[in-house]
Amino acid sequence: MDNNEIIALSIVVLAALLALRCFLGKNGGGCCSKDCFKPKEPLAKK
Amino acid sequence: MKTMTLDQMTLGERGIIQGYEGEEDLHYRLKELGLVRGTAVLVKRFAPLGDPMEIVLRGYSLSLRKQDAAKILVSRENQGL
Amino acid sequence: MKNITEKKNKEIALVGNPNTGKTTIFNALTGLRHSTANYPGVTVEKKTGWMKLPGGEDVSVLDLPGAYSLLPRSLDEDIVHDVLLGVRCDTPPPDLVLVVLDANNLERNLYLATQVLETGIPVILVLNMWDMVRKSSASVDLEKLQKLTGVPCVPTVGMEREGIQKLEAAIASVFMETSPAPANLRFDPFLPEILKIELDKIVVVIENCLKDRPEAVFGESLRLLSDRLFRSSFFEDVEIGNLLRTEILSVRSSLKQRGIDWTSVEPECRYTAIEHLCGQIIRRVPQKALTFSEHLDRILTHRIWGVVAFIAIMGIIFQSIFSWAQGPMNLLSRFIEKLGGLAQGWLPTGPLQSLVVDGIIAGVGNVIVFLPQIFLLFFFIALFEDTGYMARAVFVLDKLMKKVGLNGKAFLPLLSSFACTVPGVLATRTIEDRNDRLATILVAPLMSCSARLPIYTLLIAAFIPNIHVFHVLHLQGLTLLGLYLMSIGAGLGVAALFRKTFLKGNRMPFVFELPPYRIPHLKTVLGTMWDRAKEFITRAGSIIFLLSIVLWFLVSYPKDPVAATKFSAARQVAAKTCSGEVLQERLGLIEHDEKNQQLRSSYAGSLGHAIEPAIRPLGFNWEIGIGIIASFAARELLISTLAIVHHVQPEGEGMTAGLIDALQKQRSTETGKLVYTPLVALSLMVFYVLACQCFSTFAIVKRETGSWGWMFFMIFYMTGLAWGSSFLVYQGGRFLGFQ
Repeated sequence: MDNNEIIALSIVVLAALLALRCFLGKNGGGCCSKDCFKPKEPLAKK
Repeated sequence: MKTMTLDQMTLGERGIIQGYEGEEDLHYRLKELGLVRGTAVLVKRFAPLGDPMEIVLRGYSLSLRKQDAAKILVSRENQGL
Repeated sequence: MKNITEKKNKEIALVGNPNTGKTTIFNALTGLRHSTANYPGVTVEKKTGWMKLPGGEDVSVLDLPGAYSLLPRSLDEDIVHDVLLGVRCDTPPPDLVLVVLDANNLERNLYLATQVLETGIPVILVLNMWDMVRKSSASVDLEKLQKLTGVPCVPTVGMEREGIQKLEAAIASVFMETSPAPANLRFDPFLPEILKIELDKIVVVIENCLKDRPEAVFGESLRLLSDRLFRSSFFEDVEIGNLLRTEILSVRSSLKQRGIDWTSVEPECRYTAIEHLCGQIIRRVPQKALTFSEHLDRILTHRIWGVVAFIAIMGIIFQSIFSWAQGPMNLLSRFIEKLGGLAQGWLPTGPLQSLVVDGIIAGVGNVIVFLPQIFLLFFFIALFEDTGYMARAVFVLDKLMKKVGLNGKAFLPLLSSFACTVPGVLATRTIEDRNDRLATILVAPLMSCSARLPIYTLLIAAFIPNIHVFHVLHLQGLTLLGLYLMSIGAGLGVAALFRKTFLKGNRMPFVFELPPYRIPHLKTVLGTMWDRAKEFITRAGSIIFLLSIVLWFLVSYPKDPVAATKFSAARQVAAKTCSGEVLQERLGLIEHDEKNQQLRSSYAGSLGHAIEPAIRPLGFNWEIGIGIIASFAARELLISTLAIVHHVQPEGEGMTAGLIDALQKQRSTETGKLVYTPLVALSLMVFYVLACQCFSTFAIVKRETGSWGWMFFMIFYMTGLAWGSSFLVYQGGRFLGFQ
């Protein structure tokens, strides 16, 4: 494996990790857009 | 003055609300929106499919399903008023 | 030593009826941009911002949801009530409330306003849409209103930012005032004396709960008296709740004995008082002629013309989404292709170059190309909302919703789902009945979200002939329209099924306001369009970007050194035996074979082949199989997958044209037949209309329904529906002789 390939593959690993984080991260998985809906504030009723 | 329900009114008719039939939760909301005893309403139109109906009161338009309008008692406004 | 107390920022809250332009005022004060909707109960988000007073002080501004009364009957109104009365743990009670009123509709708007005035919180009345008052034959005496209520009254035209400076000055002066006028002098709702005395029994019970707002206790007691369903949060505490209930029932019977109807007393008295107030400040000259708005309404809601107009408008929109976007899309396509060429030149040959060109640029580029179309889609939705036509559409279609068993309030969530399912599902919070809401959530994903548009467009452009039907209708546009109609039909059908079987429920009443038509405000429409389009771009930038990289890897590895040697040898043989054009052709074929071999032995290839048996009956091959799997992350990835898998070579016609060309020409190595035919494309599109796929949808459904069960059920029924329908289309088509 030459340098070229190493760089490419490390980018892949990085991308995979980030993608995984996106899914399992905020709000227990879901949207990966900036304006993701925040969990509703705890309402005292209903 | 003949008393009837709002859904029985025809296009262009004016009426005065006399009260409500039954005791539904919706009725309070309608009252808060201005449909109280003594309020003048005008039947503006019916939707293309026949339902809902648009009424005008207090200067604004409200869309109401006929089955709900059937619980609102109105009396036809006399001519000339 | 100076006593340094931490100076808390002042808080302002904006309240008002829906459709009053409250959010426009919010934007004008804070400089942030949010979308304005012409429909009650649209969001439960908490919108906060900051504004600078003329004196330089920073003040926090909170845009509360629209409400008709302080007696809440939905989550939205709950929030308005709780925030104003200071009973929300996470939001401090505001120091000042701006009540935004539609100046043309004062009577009804004053219902909420007078309730707020009575709470004792400092108030400023903002009479918005003042330009319409000026244009009309009516006049409003602001000075008198100010005198009668004791609070500042500011006329504004939110859209034009007119009156905002005056508003800011009014806010500043209110904050500087040390002793605002007491609440009981502001407005008298003409309540009978006996009522006031009886209400004391209730006041005594809840006094301690509203320590922050002592002046609001009376009004709150009145509302508790009037609520048949005892919804207030005061009933959550068992002790107080029981005591309260007892007192309320006793007051009610006592009032009944005296001939006072407790179910109507507040609205009746309040409106009488409001009429009295308006009589003193409004002068109206009766209008004889119909306004433009009314003329328009006559047509658009006409028995026949209304429906015709609706269909025509829909048709035009689909047509334009398809054709108007072509130009910009082509430009974008060529630009991205050039970019690919540049990258190819810069980077040395090897995996890295392949990653960038065949992976990232191919994967992301082919999706970004559809941006003009997305913009157009959102533009039209925003236009709908801003002109007020949206409410008319609801009016015309409500009967349909009723027949299917859906709440009229489901219209907005389902419509939102056409942009993206996630906000659509969130919008179902305004639906009170549990089964109602569940049914709406379960069919929301059937409304073709904007991510599917690029897929439809690509497949239609590649496989639906560009011909005219009946000389006027464009077949491609019609197909797109057809897909969306199928989407809606499926949604309504499934909803009807659910509501008739296991999600039976009460038929909820549905009432909504029909605001007058407005000339759309371009800035607002473009702003809303941009907000929504931004989300699309962000998705492309993030998840699609990342997964294109991963896809590239799955498609390019593992590398087979044995095969590489074999092809290398083949090339050498070719070089020895032929030359010139024949050689070029030979090399081309060898390269093609090599690529296919590589693909077949890659991770993606193995995965695709593994699931191929399941999708073969639908006419799909393993490449589509991978695309479908990739779609779980983002639908658009189907396109990315196809682009990456096909190693499209730039031919100067633009990326998309290249991809379309590759798809049209793709032949199966086994049978030699075309892989993608119009029938396959149709089957694929039908599949995408009905399949439930992206992870975001799963997550939001699980969250909003509170259970894994409903989420899996949704996945199960939609997958079954998609598979079955695709099967019917493909096999049925083959049976009928189409290939």
